[in-house]
Amino acid sequence: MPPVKPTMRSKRRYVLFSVECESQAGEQQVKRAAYDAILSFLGEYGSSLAGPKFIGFDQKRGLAVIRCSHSELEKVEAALALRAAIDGKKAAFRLKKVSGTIAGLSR
Amino acid sequence: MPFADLDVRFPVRQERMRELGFQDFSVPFVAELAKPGDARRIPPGAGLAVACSPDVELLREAARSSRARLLFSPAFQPDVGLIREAAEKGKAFELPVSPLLQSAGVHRAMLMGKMRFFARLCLKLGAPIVMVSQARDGFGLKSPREMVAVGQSLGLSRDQAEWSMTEAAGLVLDASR
Repeated sequence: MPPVKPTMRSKRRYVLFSVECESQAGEQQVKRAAYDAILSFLGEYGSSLAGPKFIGFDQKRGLAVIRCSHSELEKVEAALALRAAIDGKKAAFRLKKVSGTIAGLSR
Repeated sequence: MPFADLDVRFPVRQERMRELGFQDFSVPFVAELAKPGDARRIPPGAGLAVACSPDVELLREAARSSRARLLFSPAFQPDVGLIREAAEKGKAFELPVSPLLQSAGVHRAMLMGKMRFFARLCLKLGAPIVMVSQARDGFGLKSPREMVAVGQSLGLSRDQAEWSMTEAAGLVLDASR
């Protein structure tokens, strides 16, 4: 199969956000909460356009990274900002940084 | 321009707001208007006062009064007369994030629809809107970037959302001092 041309590739953005929660949240909980936030805010169609992918969660620093389509970035940011709970506990996702590469997030 | 959150409803430390990205914030005097004449009962030295009522006529009265600088209609009633009056008197409407955080599912969707239409009317009729958190605890506080993202989902452009927390908020703060 011929490779996809760079101009045809979908542009992505990596969103770094911190997790504040009443109780300690694990990676699976944060992942579920982030996906749920995007799905409930954007719906199935909107989520398919946003193409969210949870990259990881550093529990020690409370930082998580999610990837999405660059055209839907604002909507994903709003979806994460409007998340108010993780597994019934009060919580907030705080947007820290957006970059086109994962390496760019640590710069 | 410095960002300001004009409606924080609990005592918060300035450092916390600075961490989030706000240079200025205010814990305003909230006047719940229940009957005619309540707007005149806002104490003159109350500082920044928010007039809040589901009744359009009471909000109109507050728009005419010199004591309330901010108006908040919890139901976001798209009353053209009220919005025109506020625009003439230079009073700003609050567009809070807190009701969105407290609602979910179809209720949030309906609320967003109301807020979007209300914001569109305000922009069309020239009434300033101010995005505020109305946070009652630390989890309700949002950074300017998050507020801009929410504002964009309510139909504002990035510039309009930023303007509502910088220049518009600055004008309200200056007028209340």
